[in-house]
Parts: sequence; C-alpha cells; structure tokens
Amino acid sequence: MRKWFWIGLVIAVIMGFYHSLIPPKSIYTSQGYHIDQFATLPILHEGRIKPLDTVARATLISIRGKQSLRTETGTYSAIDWLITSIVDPYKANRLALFNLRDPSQYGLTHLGLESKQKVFSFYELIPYFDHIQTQAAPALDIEAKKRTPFQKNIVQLHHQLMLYFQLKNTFYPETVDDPSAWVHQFMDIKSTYQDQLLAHLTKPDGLNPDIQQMVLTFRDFQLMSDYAIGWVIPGKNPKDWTSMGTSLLTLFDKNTPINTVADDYLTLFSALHTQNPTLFNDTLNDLYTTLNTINPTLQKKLAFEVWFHNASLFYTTMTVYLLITIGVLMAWLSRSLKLQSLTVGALAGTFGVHTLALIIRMVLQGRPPVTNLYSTAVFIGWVAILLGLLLEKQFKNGIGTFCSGIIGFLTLIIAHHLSLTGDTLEMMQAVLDSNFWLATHVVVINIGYGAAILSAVLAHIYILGGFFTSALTKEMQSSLVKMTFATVAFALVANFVGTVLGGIWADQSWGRFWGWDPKENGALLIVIWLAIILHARLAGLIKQRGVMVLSVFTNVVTSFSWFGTNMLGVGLHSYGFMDKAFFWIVVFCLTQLTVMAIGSLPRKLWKSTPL
Amino acid sequence: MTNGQYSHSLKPNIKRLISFLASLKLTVVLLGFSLVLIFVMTLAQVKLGLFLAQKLYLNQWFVWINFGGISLPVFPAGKLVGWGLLINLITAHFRRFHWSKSKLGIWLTHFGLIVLLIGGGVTGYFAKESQLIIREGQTLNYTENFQQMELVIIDVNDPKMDTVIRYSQNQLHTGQLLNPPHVPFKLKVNRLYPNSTFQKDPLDDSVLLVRELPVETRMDRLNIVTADLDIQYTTVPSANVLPTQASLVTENRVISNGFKAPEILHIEGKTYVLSIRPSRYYTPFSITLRKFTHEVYPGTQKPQFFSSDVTVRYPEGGTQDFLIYMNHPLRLDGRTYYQASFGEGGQISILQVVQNPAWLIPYIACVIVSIGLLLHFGMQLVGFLSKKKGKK
Repeated sequence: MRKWFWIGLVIAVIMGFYHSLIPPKSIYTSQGYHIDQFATLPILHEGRIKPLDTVARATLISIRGKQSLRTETGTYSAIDWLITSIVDPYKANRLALFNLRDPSQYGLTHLGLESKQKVFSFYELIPYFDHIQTQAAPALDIEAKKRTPFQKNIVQLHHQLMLYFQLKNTFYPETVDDPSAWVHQFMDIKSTYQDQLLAHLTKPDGLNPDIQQMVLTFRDFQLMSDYAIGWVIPGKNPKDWTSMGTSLLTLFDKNTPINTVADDYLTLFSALHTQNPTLFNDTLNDLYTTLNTINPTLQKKLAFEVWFHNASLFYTTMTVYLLITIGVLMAWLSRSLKLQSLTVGALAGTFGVHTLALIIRMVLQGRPPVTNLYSTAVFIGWVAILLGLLLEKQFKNGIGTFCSGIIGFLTLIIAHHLSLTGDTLEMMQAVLDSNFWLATHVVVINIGYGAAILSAVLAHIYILGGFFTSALTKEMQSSLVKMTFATVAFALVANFVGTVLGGIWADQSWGRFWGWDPKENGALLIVIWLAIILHARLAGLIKQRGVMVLSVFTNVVTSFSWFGTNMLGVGLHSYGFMDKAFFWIVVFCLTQLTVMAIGSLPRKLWKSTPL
Repeated sequence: MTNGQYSHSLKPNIKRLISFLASLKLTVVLLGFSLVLIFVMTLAQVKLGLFLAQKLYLNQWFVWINFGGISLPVFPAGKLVGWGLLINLITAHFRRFHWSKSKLGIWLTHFGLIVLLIGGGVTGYFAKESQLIIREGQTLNYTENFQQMELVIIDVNDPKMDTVIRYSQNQLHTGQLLNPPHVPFKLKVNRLYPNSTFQKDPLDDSVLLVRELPVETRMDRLNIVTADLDIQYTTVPSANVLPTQASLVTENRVISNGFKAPEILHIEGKTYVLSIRPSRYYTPFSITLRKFTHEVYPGTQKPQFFSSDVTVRYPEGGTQDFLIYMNHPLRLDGRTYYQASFGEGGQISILQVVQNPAWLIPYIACVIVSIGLLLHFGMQLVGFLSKKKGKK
C-alpha cells in the first residue's frame, strides 16, 4: 500500500505545479519580446511595490472579473492586454472588455445601447460617457451601501472606465504613437527656448507653433501625473517613488535631463510600436541594471511574485482536491484499498503544495498567513485539510481524506471569488498593522473556524451517508462519532482562545476587552453553540444522532461569523460588502437546515443500520 | 463529606431548587437564550446602533415589545441570562464538582468563566469612557463624554481659578429649581430639551425657534436676538432657564450645546458663565498635543499610521513625553488613552479614554480558562492515544 501512497503523492504534486511547468502563453513572447522579464518590472500601486504583471491582473480582474481576456481573435493574458492597451489603444478600445450583464440596469438602453449585448468595448461606450459621468457623480456622494442597484452599477462602470483610462495613460498619453520620439522632440524644442522657457510658457505666444506644442506637452505630462494607475520611477524608499508624468514634468526645469528609468520605459514602448524586439530586449536589460543599483533585492522578489501568480497554485490544488474527493467515493464503492492509499497520498501531496503556496504568500507580504478575507478562505481550508489528514492517519478509513478533499475544494472556490477584488497581497490598514496579533489572534480564530467546519462536514457524512446509503457500517459510525466529538472539542478550545486573544488585542488597541461588535459576537456565537452541543450531550438531552444534527448547524453559525458579520456593514470589522455572496450564504444555510431535517427523520427510514 | 448529616434537615424543596439551579439542562437552556439574544442584538445594531442595541437586549432583565400601546416582556434579556448563567455556574460548582485529578481541568475552566462573568459585570458598572479631542499645540486637563451632557455654572471672577458647578443631564428636568451653592442666584429650568433643533422664524428673521426632536412639531419662540449656531450639531440638548434672585428681575436665557458661545450672566457685579456641554472628567495632570502624524500608503488614501506625540504635565511639576499610536496606548493614573481617530485633516487628534478598574480581570480569567481547557482536553487526548497504542 505504501507504493500507492507515494504514487498518489507524486501525481498530485505534478498536477499542483501544472501551470508553473507550462510557460505562460503570450502574443508578444512569440514575436520575440522578453515579456516574462517585462512583467517583473516594478510599479508602486495601492501603496505596495509590485510587478507590472500583478497590476495588469488586478486591473483586468477589476474590469473583467478574470485574469485573461478572451476575444474572437484570441486570448490575451493580463500582461498582453496591458501592453496592447498602451501600445495599440485603437485595437484595445475595440476589444469586448466591459461586462454590463444587463445594459438596461445602467439606464443606457433608452439612449440606444444594444440591450441584448452583454459585453461592450470601450469604443462602443464612448457615446455614453457624458451620461455615465453625470449619473455617477451624485451617486459617488452617497455612502456605498446606501446606493440603489442602478447607482451601484453606474458607479462600478464609471470606476472601470476610469481604471482603463488610467492604465492607457500611465506611461505616455494614448494619443501619442511613438513615445520616445515624442519626448525627444520636446527636448529639442525646449533647448531652443531654454533661457526664456518659463516666460514663454506663462505668456504663450498664440502664433508660435513650438510654444503651442510645449503647452500641450505640459498638459499631457500633467494628465499622466494625475491619472497614473501606479508610479514607476523608483526611489530608495516607497515614499520616494513618482509617476512617469511627475518625472517628465521636471523636464520643464532648466537643464534637467530625462530620468534614465523614464527614458528606458519610453524606449521600450517605442520598440513595441516600431516592432523592434532586439531594441526592446536590450533596453530591458539596461533598465534591469539600473533598477538593481537602486534596489538590489527587489527584482528577485518581484520575479518570484510573477512566477507565483502564473503558477496559480490555489487554482490547481482546488481541482486536485475535487478529484481526491471523487477518488475516495470511488474507493469506498469499489472497496479498493489501493485506490484509498492513492487518495491519501494525493491528499498529502496537494496539502504540501497548498502549504508551499501559503508560505510564499507570507514571504511576499512579509506577514503572518491571514491578512484579508481572501487569505482566511485559503487558510481555513488548510487547517481543515490538516485536521482531516490527522484523522485519516488515526482512523485509516477514508473519512478524513474525504473531508479534506471536499473542504479544500469548497474553500478554494470561495477564495477564488474573494480574489476578484483585485490584489490579494494588499497592504494592511493601520489598525490591523500588528504582526504579533495577526500571528496569534487571527491565526487561532481561523484554526477554530476550520475545525468547526470539519465537525460539520463529518456530521454530513454521518447523516447523508447513513440516510441515503447502506454503506455506513457500525464501525464507520463509531469512528465518525469519535471524530466529531474530538473535533467539536478542539474547535471549542480554539475558538475560545482565539476569541479571548481578540479581546486582548481590542483592549490593547481600543481600550475595551469586549464591545459587542458583530465580528466579536459572531465568534462568541460559535463558542456558545459548540458549548451547547457538548453540554446537551452531557446532560443526556441529545445522543449521537443529536450531536450530528446539531453539528450541521455549526456550519450555519460559522458562515454567519465568517461572512455574515461583514455584510452588516457596521462595527470595526466591516472590511467589505458583498452582494452576491449574501444570496449564496442564504442558499447554503437552507441546504444545512435541510440536512438537519433529514438527520432528524425517524431512524427506521435510514438505509444504514444504527449503532 | 459531612453534608450527609445536614441533608435530612434541608427541606426537600430547597434541595430541588438547588438541583434545578445547578442542572446542566438549565445551562443548555440559558446558553440557548444567550445565543438568540446575541444574534438578534447583532442584527439590531444595523438600524439602532451599538449603544441602543446593547441597551435594549443586554442591559435589561427582559426584552420588551410594544403591542399596540402595551409593553410586554417577551424574552429574557442580558441581565437575566447573565445572572442566570452565573448562579447556575456557581451552584453547579459547589454542588456537583468533585475534587479529582481528572475533573481539575473542567473545574478550572468553569471557575475561570465565573471570574470572567464577574469581571464583565464590574466593568459594566464601573467603567467610564470618554474622549480627548485635542488640537495640535493645545493643552487640556479633562476628557469629554459625549453620551452624557452637563449643565454648568462657572464662576470666573477669581483670576487664578474657575469654580465649576455642574448638573449632569439625567439630574435635570423641566420645571426644576436649581439651588447652586456659592452663587447669588437660583436657576429655574423653564424647559429642558434633551434633543432640540433650531430654526429662524421665517416671518421674523431675528427670532429663533426651538423644538424637541423627534416628536414635537410645535416650535417655541425664544426671545433672544441672535445666536451663533454651531451647525455641526443637528440635535442638541438645550435649556430655557431663568436666573432668579430676590432683589433683581432677570430675563430668560437659552443655553444649548448647539450654540458656539455660552451665556454670560452679570449679577451683583460678578460674572458667571452658563452653558451645556459634554460631561467633563477632569484629570490632575494636563496633556499637550505637540504633533499629530497621519500617514497613508504612498499614492493611496489607505491609512498606514496614526500617532499623537504628547507631553504630560504632572501637578507636582515635571513633564514626560509619550508617543500614542495604533496598538500602543498610554496608560496613566488608571486611565488609558488610545489613538482612535482624527479630525480637520490632522489638526485635531481624537483619543479614546477608558477608565476601568476591572481591566485586568478578563486577562486573569482567560488564563485560568485556557489552562483548564488545555488540561482537560489534553488529558483526554493523551488517554485516547494511549488506548489506541494499547490496542495494537
């Protein structure tokens, strides 16, 4: 059996690294440009220095909800889309980019917008810009959660259009074809008027075409500075970075030369425009050398981040977890111990990849594993999977593996949807900025959530397996009972300790140990519910089946605490507001109540014989 | 145990009562109640806000619901459930727990919970929260509680010292005659408006109208010519008062937290200041805000760092500098100052100030409970694993 364990492990690891073994496809790479190197260039975006690749992904996710753009002509990766938008705005403007889903919800159909179409290009939306602008402006003054659905749509569309505009005009204005030639032409004109430059600009001579040109260029630089999506001109510290626009504005000072990094960027994009891969690659090397002198270790870290995003480790492991779950079911059906061993090995391998991905996130962010809602999903899954592995090691009947598989799959799907807000490696707000408390309170409470969810999944196996199939042997029932009780007890301890640590953090931070804040209440509800299960069992009010039925409800309490409290929009813990998620949580709770009802049906209706 | 010789004399009813109070079933029921209460209270916060939700569901014995004019208690509220759990826990503790090594963990856990509940109760009674809203360069020797207003009469005649006589908002009512000590007048409260709003008379621009929110539609005319309104307050406590004195006929005055300037009284050649303001808690020391720093992540509006650089001046002389920032409060003289917020783009720092003599109790309780839990479940885990080993 050991052999099959190791075979499963190796297969799972290979599948986990599937995307990292295949180099990312790029239209520009096939033309000879070193896009993989270009993608690692640094940009300061939302307060963090990250690779261009991440900004491309985050922006495309914000606009399109995906990390790549599929069109009739082919699929653009995020970085491809970024380059096309900047270098060939004519083409980019005609790509189907903005997903309105239902144009009538934007108040635009009566203006002529095709109502059956869902995705629109920038070009198709141009006639409606004024309308969108005037509708969005008053909506922006209203608090986000108080906006009507129409207002939310219009504000979101406005934001997406703005992001796209910003992206196109960060390195040079979209109206310019060859940026390097454009700036150098400006420098030539400037040298002619060197001494009286300021005088000429403050009193522009309407008849002089050169002066007119310089005024326009000034305005262009200003536009680039105001609307930059990020800052690419590096400094020693994050505070010293500036945008292309700001850097080019300094050219209006007497005798200031072009910043070398800015000059290199201009050349890079000119090379793309004139379709000169050799020039592109050479300039890229020069730029790299310059960047390494300013910040020696930065590029390596950024290259690592690009690799990490390309590897999509959470996406691959999510798929493998699903396969493992199916594998365990098949192993049970066919009573194949070999297949069972394979699945355990696969689980161990996938868990290893999952762990590695978490560690990489920690290294990239310089933080403990949980820093935002996205990372809670990834970490809670990891905890439950680890506990499932331990259960499998102890009981060796596939139950642990099954739980790990299904929880891994579901939590990573949740994580995937939570990643649609943009950059998952984002910076932390001031009040959360404490590595000590992030490592203690946040980690422990998430361990508690993971254990609570595991106890609920075990209960599902007992109820659904026992009611719908005859496969739930007395042995299995007995081990399920033990597993559930142990997990409930562990979850109670972890949730209690985690809640207490939260109270201590609150006392250190805000002056009170407990404030009846929704998130605090959510955690307390889990503790109370788990305590009810244990005490009701001790009091003889419920027996084994009762523990299982009540344990299913633990999922309802946990989902309220994990997500429901964020949706209330009040208190110190409101990090985000999710509309669609509310619908799915309600659906989920209804399924749990249904399972509880099934579990409560008379025992003689169950297909499996009771203990 | 020597209880045996007393058990005959204990009335059976009392025994039954103690049994009931110590029962696990009661625990489950009470825990169930607390679950529902906390859940409902969390949802209620959205519309009512934390303060009111807490008041309605936790700080009462019952949850009252109004059925067409009659208020009925429909569900046990925080106080009842809290006391219930505490009594249940204590009686169970002494009635059912035995001194044995295997039960030590459980015993400690529940003992720690008792301490936690008691600590919570003490905090509820004794804790005082206020705010220090201070400008850069300003020195203040008090903090303010905006939940509780006070009416003050200040004797400003001594150049070295102000004497402040204050009446807390909940001590005042309409029609009351106040007899403040050390001043040559009494103060009649003609009308107290706990939540008032002001408006200029549309027909006579110089006359001000005031009414009580949210119920009243009628507005009272005030015979004052001008009032410098502080428009950031939309509902403020105000009072129409009449300083009375045997020898002098004086006129009605209106004081309000919504007015920028207080009322000045000149009586018998002396000057007194009348106003309504947030309750002040004076401290023996004073705090000067030297500098407030507010940093955002470059290129964003996301807050990265807030801090207040303060100097504390002690009454016996001597000063000390402190830096207060997120997760690093200043603990001084039983009070703790936390960096909470800021105003006017960084000109004003807002510190939350908490005075809670019971602050250490939750820490102690939680250590006890944690040790208890680890002991109990740790022993169970060890037992389980060794049984498995034994079976092999």
